[in-house]
Amino acid sequence: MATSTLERLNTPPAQTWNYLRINDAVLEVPAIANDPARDYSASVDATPVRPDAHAGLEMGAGDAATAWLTSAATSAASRHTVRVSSDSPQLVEVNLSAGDVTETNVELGPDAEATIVVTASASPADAPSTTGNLLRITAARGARVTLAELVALPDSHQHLDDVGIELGQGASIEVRQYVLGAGTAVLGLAANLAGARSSLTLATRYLARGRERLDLNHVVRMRGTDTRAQVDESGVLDDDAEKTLRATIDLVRGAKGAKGREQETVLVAGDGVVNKTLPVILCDEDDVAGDHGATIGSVSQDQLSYLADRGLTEEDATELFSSAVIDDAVLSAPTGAFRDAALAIARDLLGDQAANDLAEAEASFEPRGGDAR
Amino acid sequence: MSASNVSDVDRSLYDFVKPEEGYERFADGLTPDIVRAISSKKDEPDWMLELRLKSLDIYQDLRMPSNWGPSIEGLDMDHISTYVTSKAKQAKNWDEVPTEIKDTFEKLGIPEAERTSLAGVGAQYDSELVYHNMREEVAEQGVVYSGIEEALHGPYEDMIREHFMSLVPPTDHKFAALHGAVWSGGSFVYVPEGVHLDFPLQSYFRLNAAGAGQFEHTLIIVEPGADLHFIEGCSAPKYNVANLHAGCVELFVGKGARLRYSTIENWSKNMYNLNTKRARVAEDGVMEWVSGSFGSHVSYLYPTTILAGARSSCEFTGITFAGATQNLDTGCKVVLAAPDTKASVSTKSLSKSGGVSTFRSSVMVTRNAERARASVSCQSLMLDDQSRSDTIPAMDVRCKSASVGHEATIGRISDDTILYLMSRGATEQEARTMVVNGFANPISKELPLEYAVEMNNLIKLEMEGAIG
Repeated sequence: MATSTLERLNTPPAQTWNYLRINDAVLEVPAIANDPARDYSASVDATPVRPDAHAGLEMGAGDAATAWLTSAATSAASRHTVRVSSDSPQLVEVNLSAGDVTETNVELGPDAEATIVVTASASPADAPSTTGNLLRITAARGARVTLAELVALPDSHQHLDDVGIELGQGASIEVRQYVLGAGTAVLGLAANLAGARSSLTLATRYLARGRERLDLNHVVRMRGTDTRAQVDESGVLDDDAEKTLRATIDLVRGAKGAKGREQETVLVAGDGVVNKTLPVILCDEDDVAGDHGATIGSVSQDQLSYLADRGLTEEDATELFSSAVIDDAVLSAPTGAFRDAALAIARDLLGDQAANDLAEAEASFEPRGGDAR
Repeated sequence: MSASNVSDVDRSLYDFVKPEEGYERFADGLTPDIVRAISSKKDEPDWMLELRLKSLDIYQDLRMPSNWGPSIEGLDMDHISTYVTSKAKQAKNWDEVPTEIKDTFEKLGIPEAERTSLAGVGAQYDSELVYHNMREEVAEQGVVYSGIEEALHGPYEDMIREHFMSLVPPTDHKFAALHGAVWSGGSFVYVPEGVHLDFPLQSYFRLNAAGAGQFEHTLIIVEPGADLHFIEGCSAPKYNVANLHAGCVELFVGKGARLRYSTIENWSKNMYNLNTKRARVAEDGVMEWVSGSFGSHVSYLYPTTILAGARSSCEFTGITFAGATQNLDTGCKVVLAAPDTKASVSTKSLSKSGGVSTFRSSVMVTRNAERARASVSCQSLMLDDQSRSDTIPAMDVRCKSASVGHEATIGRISDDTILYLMSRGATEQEARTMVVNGFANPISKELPLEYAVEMNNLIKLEMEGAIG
């Protein structure tokens, strides 16, 4: 298969010493990735979006990713344009299986509501492939968006995710990302909080093991007055996994009253782990508050002693942390495809019994934000 | 009189110019002939000339990074003289120093500080040391504190050859290469095993010449179990043309030794400060940095500590104040490369009147750094809506049992605080200066008293006109 190399992916707005090799990511992708015959599901009728609705929207993974995803998602079936009005909440569901690449543009009118769910999954029997998700979201005044993303791929597969978000006055978005498996996963998300009092919450939880590589880039531009951003990333790195996180909160001049917070927690469980973090605050306005924090380490001695008293080893503790991430993904699954993909990972990592218990618990659990299924 | 009244601070303390009549000044620009001429002036051993010429080649090949850092477009090496000297011979007595140079250092308070609180002083004026002296009782303990060129011609040549530009090789970055090519002046300090100095040593660097560069090299070797506090000061008058400082500091801290390196940097605001400082710490050694960055037009300054020995540790305590026309990119780097190493970084930055302050750091934990611990804390204060403050910390952790914590906050002085202080009789400017001094207090308390006073003076200078 012909391949091409995408360079300067996930480049943050402010960079640092190049020898650290933290400023960007590289991904080798198929030169052409398009299957017109494939059926991509969308639970709403696609309505053309105004041509300029997403013009100039900053994308998280960068120009090379956007260009490749756009060219790869060339068929009508792989390109969705959705307009959501305030008349009725909408579910936009994008299910990616091995080798799928989609482009989805969602425009929410004033006071509209939408839930967008992206699930990338594949069978270990599938030939190695690259899945891709290009997602643009614009939310007008007072609109509310929930975005749930799950990457649950075998380690022979890779995933490229490129998200751009723009929020109008009073608009809000809640993003939950779960990356539970992929040989290489590159996810970039950029959010422009343009409108006054717009807000974003972003929670990313991940597991990486074996020789998996995870690369994240989160960029939050706080432009409107009194905007709010809360960004949390947490996860478990085991074996020889590598993870790079770039998280930027940009307090733009004029964003008076804005408050942005970013927090990362990493459990390092493997002897061969590489964990890189670049948490950035850019501040061009005095009447703002910005902070970030990071905690990187293994299970502490105090925690180990506590667990030992209860008959648990360090390995048990690490498994508890890992299963907590999977549990969260399953219990908050907004769609059946999302749940099934998360349960497949649970089955693989935790065993059939644990996965069955989890499925049972999920069946009686009210998902966060209501059941979108 | 109120301590926070800024109107009586004498700005001429740092900003005065002495004539260059009779001085020797090399042509602007950078050529192999200029490099050879500098080497010839110092009658150096051949290996040093070779290092200079090799460094020049590296300088010509390297490029500045295009994707990060402040612009240095205003710095044109074709308009920088790399060597300027008063021709004065290095003295051990201030009375032997030419009057106008002695007057400069008197104004800066160096001789007085030497008399009251220092174990030794080195004073550099433009490219050459003009004064170097150390108390006899310190010399009797075997401590060496001299000009580095002087030491190159004595029994320490082999030691210098072993260490010189080994921590900061010319390939490190473009201005490390420049330094390797044209370095001049600076100090060599050797503290024998087990010797503790009760008073600090201080080197002060004054760049008087317009359109010139200063490239001093400081090499300090603290042998096992020894203890030293070294203070570095620097200043320059302001000109309408660019000046350049590309010094280099290499510090070797032996087993169980301790080195504190304190700097109050107050270069003029036409200065490009592209300085490189690095320390390597052996087992159980302790490295402490105290750094105040107030001056220069553009700064790239990140003191680096390599914790190479088990149980070695470092602390970095720094403050950066970026005012009008300043873009100060400062911070630090730490490499934890051995078991049970510890690093603690605490920085403050202030931005005012359009100044840009960037805190940049890296913490690297290598695979073998079992149980290493690192914490980084960075606080930034925005003093108006014209300024900018960025925080760019990087962490690279490769050891399962290591623990790294980081926190950073950016904000402004709350209106409630100002109103509270004003309700008790302070003017708004006084109230703001008090808050800023309080913000800086964790740094100033780490400095010897007279340098803390200097730092507070600098803060008051910067706060002048902060209102309205």
